[in-house]
Amino acid sequence: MHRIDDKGGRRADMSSRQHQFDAMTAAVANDLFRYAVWLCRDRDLAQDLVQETLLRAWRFMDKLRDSGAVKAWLLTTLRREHARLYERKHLDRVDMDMSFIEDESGRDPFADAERRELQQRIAALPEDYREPLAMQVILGCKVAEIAEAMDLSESAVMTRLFRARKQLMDGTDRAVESVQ
Amino acid sequence: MNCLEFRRACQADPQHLTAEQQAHRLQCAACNRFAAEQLDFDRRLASALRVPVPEGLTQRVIFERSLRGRRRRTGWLAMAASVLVVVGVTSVLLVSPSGSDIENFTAHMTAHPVDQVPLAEADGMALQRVAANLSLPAVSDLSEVVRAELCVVDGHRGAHLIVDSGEAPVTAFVMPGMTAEQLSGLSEVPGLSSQVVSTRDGLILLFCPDQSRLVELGERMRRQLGWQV
Repeated sequence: MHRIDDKGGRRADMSSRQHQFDAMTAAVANDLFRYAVWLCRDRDLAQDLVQETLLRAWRFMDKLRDSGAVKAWLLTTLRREHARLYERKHLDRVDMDMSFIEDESGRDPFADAERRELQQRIAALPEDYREPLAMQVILGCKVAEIAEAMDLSESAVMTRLFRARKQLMDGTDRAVESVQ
Repeated sequence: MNCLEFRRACQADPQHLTAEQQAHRLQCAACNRFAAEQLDFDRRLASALRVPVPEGLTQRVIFERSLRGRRRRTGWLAMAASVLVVVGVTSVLLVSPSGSDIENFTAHMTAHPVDQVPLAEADGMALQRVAANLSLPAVSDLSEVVRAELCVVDGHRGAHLIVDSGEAPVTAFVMPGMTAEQLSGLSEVPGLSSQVVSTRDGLILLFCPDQSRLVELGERMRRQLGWQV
């Protein structure tokens, strides 16, 4: 009887674990992919990174579901996978190649042109600025979460975000300097 | 808080202003306008960063998770897999996978991954039990079958099998009594190739990310089952 109960318990636990993983994957995979694309600027590579990251999460699901820091954990893991990949394969970075974006045209040509221009400016940002910006805007991360994922102080993250946005806005000096 | 401090903070993180920053915004018309500009720019940024996502990304990750579990266990299971399963009779016709039922099968694969069956059940007896439960005189020698479990999909009873075909394990459903007509009008499943072998006595459905082995494997399983053209 005990064996049956144990088995039933294990199945229920495994099923719950699977459902949690599936729900988490459904919730984060798309945005994680978008972040990965802006990180590595390669759609195929981004898919691999997302898959590897989430499959690692599956192995640590029991710890993760109680940690309350899933987002930071996923981002840290994805960044490590990305770094490992570059170490292993010595991939070349093509900074201004925009083919990874696969832009979709909307109904408003003016808005499309503006979006493409902004995408080019984002792609041209230094990686140190682009990365926290992508975490913040795509994944809705707070400064503390970005700091944890990037192993930086919160003030360092604030500085990078400030500079990233400042560089992207027209007339980069109009924001703060106007009140100085 | 002064305007400079507010604008530095607002330009770094306009979506998460503190109570003190919100209070300053309410008091200062210029900073209020500045914050509105930042939020508007934030919306344009979000639109620019929102690149298209490949279709079926989530399903592929979930499917890969179920496959990896299987791969880890194949060494242990190889010994338990020398028996197989199944037999039937009659005609075969290969058809393209179609019909909304296929989605129910892939949903079943995701919700009930056979690789998570406790190991004690994954032995030759389990395979024989499945065959016996389906009234299939069991058999022979499809030794790559490493998991077997009874399943019910859309009210049809059958065998949910995992076939270790090397790099890419194949999920197979052997569904006695199910007909090809019950699989009509279906869309493709992103990231998964599928093959349906239809006979008068039932269907064999195979799923795998790699299409190359499915036709051959489907035909071999049909022969093992004794389901003839």
